[in-house]
Amino acid sequence: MKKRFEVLINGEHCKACGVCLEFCPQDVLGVSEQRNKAGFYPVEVKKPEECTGCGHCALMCPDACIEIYRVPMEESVQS
Amino acid sequence: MSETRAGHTEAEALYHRPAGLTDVQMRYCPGCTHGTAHKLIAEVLEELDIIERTVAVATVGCSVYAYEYFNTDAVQAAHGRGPAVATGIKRASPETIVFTYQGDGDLAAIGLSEVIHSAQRGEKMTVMFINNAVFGMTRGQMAPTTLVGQKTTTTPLGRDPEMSGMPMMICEMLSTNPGVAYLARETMIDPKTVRSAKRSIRKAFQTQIDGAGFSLVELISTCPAWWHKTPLEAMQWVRDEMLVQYPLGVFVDYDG
Repeated sequence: MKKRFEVLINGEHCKACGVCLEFCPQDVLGVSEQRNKAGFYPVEVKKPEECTGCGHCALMCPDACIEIYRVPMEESVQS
Repeated sequence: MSETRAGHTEAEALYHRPAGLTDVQMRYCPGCTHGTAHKLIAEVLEELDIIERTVAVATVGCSVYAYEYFNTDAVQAAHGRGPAVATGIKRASPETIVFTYQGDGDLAAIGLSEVIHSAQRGEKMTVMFINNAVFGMTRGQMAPTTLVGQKTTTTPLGRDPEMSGMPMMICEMLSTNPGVAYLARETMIDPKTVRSAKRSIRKAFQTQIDGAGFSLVELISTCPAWWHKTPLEAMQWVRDEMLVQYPLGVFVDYDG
């Protein structure tokens, strides 16, 4: 499946509160196995092709760690 | 900010970190909706294009570091005196957009007279009132807004109305005040309420830009650390308990 949206997570600012995991309807996100500098296991993108760009994760993230971008048409065809 | 971290253009962004926030990591506890409130205010400042002429007034409480997070000029006021400092800024420089960011321990306890008199005078400023029913910074003591029966470090058996009275309803109290132009109570516990909160925050700043009078938005927030709950349990507790005591809604709206 083509990747239509790019979800960027600032893993160093993430405090692993888990709010985005709860509100993502597509289960795009998961928890990293590596700790960040603050000692949290940050959230990372596990299934980028499932993202529908609803933006609920970014809307709910209390630390503004999540950014979502539309992947331009030609790039998404190549990938 | 025409190009973002990953080299995408602004037009491709469905969501990006708002320009009203600095790149500093917020020191709030994981899952605390203080961060969500900061984010919404920063988005509104960016959308209304008023970042350059805004002064934030941070007060005492968990929000004491707000001046590091907002990408605006900022003043740190003494405990509860945010509206007094904001009055001075607004009167000295009427073109400036000024807002205070206060918790319930700050606004409803020590700073109650300041906010009432600012509303009474109809000062053209915006107050962001974060109500999480405890004093968060000092480890969860009872605040004026603590619910009946709620256990805190100073009410270990639950708040007793015989002893400490009933929770203070700031919006209801200010709604009869003729100087108030916009007054709303919102929360941030799911995407719908976050969007609604943003609309109210935007309206509050628009009220100030229009020079209509005093505006205040009460944001029912979570305090996972001192409610001793996970972030998601805290959001559920807001839905089940807080919103029963503090119904959401727009109390005063100057243009309809």
